Amino acid sequence: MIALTDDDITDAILHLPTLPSIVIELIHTLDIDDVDTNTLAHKISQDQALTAKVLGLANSSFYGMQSHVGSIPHAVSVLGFNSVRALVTATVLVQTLSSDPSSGLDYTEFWKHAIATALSARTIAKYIGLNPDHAFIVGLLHNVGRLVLATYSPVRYQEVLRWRSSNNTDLSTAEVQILGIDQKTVGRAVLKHWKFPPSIVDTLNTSNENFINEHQRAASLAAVADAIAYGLDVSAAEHDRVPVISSADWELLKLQEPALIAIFNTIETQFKEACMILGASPNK
Amino acid sequence: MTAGTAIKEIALDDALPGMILADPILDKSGARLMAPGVALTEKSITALKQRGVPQINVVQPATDEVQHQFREHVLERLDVLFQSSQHSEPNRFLLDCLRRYRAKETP
Repeated sequence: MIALTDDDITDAILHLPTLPSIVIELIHTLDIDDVDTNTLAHKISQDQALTAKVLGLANSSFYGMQSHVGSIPHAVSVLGFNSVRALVTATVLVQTLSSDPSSGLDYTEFWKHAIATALSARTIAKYIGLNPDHAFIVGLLHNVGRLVLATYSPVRYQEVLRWRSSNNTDLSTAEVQILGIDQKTVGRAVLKHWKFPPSIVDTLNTSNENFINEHQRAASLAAVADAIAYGLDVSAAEHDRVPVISSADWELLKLQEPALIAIFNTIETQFKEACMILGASPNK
Repeated sequence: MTAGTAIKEIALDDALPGMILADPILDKSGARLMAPGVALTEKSITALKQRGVPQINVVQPATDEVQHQFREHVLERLDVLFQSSQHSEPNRFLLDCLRRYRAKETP
């Protein structure tokens, strides 16, 4: 095995598509309390395709709104800026990081799983008293390092996929085995590159690091959300396997069966619609 | 989607009042016209025709036999998904909850 080096990772990250300026601005506001939401709402509104998708989500089973949300400023006033920011960020990321046929990674499966993890994280957050919009972004980006690994070295990524199916393991284990790196380590570098605040970046800690940081609950939440999304089989890929949930992550959340059942239900209710609106389900 | 039911795509011209939608119906901009699980009415079918919706997905109730097979299949798939993580206690608990969740699903 030849492990990927830090230079390889840096190089791979530089090859990522540039994020649209509106998202860079929104990311910048993530840890800031005093945000000029009117100006940002106005900027979002200028992109009509983006606005249509965000309003589609705002009017979906996601929020269960009684009245129709008709504009971005309206969405900000009824759902809050945090929610709108999460929806815009998600919409743009799915759109910007879509389809690289050479990578060998099935992007539709990837995003279906990411969306389910985001929904799962958002729902769990409500049970344990964390910010659901923040959790949504954390869940969506939980496996983003995987995209970088797959696009940077398509040939070696094929090897990862082969090793996974012949050894019957989850994908992260296969990545570590073949590429010598955990996709979360790569994900952290990606999120730093996009200037996500530590409250997001630090949720991508790897199990063998065992470091406890102030964002540990959000990190554990993301790990459990990821496992639940695999357990619900939303991406339904033949070789999908549920990754091992560490006892430390599990105990931190203290989720009991009734809460889990309600969480399963919510994810399944919202999933299809979210995928359709975000464009992650091309007739599949 | 509930267990043991099949989804069938039909032309809107073949839609009948009382049929249950399997998927949300969205217009071109992604705005939702109708939610899944809702029963069609004469009025809603006419409205969808006016909107130019060509076909829709509806739920077809399944026979007991099909439901049984479906459930068996779902439970087998759960075992496969958890194959490589059964040694972990949280995973076993999650698997048990998912089994009970799937078993309770009613058409």
